[in-house]
Amino acid sequence: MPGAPNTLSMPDMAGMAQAASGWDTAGAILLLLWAVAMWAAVAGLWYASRGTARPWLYRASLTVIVIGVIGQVGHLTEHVAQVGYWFQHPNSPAWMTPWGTALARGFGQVDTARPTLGMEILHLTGNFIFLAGLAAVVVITRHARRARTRFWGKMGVWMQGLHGLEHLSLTLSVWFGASQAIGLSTWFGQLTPGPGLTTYRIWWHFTANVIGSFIFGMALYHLWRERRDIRGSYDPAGPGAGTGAPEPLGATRAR
Amino acid sequence: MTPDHGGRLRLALAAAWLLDAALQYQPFMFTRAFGQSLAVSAQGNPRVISDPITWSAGIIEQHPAVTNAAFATIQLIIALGIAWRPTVKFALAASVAWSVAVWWLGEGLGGVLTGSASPWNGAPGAVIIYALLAVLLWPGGRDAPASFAAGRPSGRLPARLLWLTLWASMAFLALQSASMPSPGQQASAFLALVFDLVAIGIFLPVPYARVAVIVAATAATAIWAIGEDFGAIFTGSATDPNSGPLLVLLAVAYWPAHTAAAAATGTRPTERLAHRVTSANHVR
Repeated sequence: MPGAPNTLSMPDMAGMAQAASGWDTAGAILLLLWAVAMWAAVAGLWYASRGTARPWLYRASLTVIVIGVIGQVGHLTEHVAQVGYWFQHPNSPAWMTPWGTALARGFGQVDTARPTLGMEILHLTGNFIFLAGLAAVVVITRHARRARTRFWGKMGVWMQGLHGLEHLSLTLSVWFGASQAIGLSTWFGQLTPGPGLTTYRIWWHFTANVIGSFIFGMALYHLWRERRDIRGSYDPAGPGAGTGAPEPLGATRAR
Repeated sequence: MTPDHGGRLRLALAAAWLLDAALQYQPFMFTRAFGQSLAVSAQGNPRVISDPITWSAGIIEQHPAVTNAAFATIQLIIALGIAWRPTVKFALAASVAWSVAVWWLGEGLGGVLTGSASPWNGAPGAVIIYALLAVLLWPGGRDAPASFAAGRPSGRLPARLLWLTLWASMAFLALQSASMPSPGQQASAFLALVFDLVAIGIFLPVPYARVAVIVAATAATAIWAIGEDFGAIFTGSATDPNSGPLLVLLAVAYWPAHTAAAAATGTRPTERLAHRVTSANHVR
């Protein structure tokens, strides 16, 4: 309830109250640069892939996807660790890994008066790195619009996009001084904090991540299966040219 | 979905009303204690809600035999009316009015305004689900190709929004009980998460919507067994089987038999998939 302790925002996470070291700040800046670079790449690739297809765009998009996979592995690992801790301490406040806590401290330098802001920014950044990876899947299939890869990529962008908005809401509400983080996973900050609601929030984000990762995994699986068609769609000479690929199964035809 | 699927569901709803009528004819209901038990539902509600409950409970307490005989007979008539095709619309409409009245005067709006209602105990109230089912199982409808029976009378989107509202409300009520210190806090939090997924899942494509419906039916069965003690229907003082079986019936009404496109064209999903695979897809 309004005015109650901010347990839903997990202020008691180990180490959150400590001052940030230079390493913490550097790590936070690097993670932020990672997210910014990925989104700049996605935007650039989307712009460059207008009109004539160029083979290098395929490789560049693939690189962004791989970097997104690396980011999501780290992100999901964090949530798995949180759930693992919850199994051992179901009545305790939420917990983050030491490196997650360090990064949250680094991000917390944005506004030291709000102890949970760093954690919210960290999760927001992690989710937008994941979203950039999914967006890159949509970009790489821009010339293979009927590919299953694109179907799963778009589904992922929708799902993770909504989850990203949830994190944006959580982050901005804390930043603007709300007594509790406001989002679906906190029921808009209207419920009394405690172990029950901490459980809800931990499992909500874990579930969202597992579902998102499954969708990302399906997109990657289909990207692997349809790689010749999709790569062929970037060949100015037409699909399959120079790839040794047979007639596409259901993906491409030259314009 | 076969054309008479909605008819079978209406028969199931009629059976539920018949069970209610049978329970209402139990000896306990003809005593003053029945009226006193209704008065309890006023507790914790705002006065605008609780005063009419107290007033009606007082009347029932004063005249238990007459009032309860009327209640049981009304429910019997509703059951028979829903089962008999010529009177089905009249009976469904009457059941909505009756359900809303009972939800208020008999169940205190399921306790949703008291802050202590929990889906484990039947919140938001079994009887309001009867009303919901009556609306969703109305004969005929403007969306005949809908893949699920509940989507036919009013259309798929309104039906899905009703589903979303119900399960999201239940998630909120579960979280309310999760926020109170008790041994079951974590279980209620999990239940809320499950309800969230069920609420959203109905908007997904057919295979995933089916998973959501199965999870909904499973959760409802678990609630009925664990939290509602099977509606305590053999205790002699139960007026209905509680929300569990009705939520299962509701889930069946939302079971997507096939996609709407398939219903319109008469093809099955596998046939359309094969068509898509064999068709040349063009890009660029």
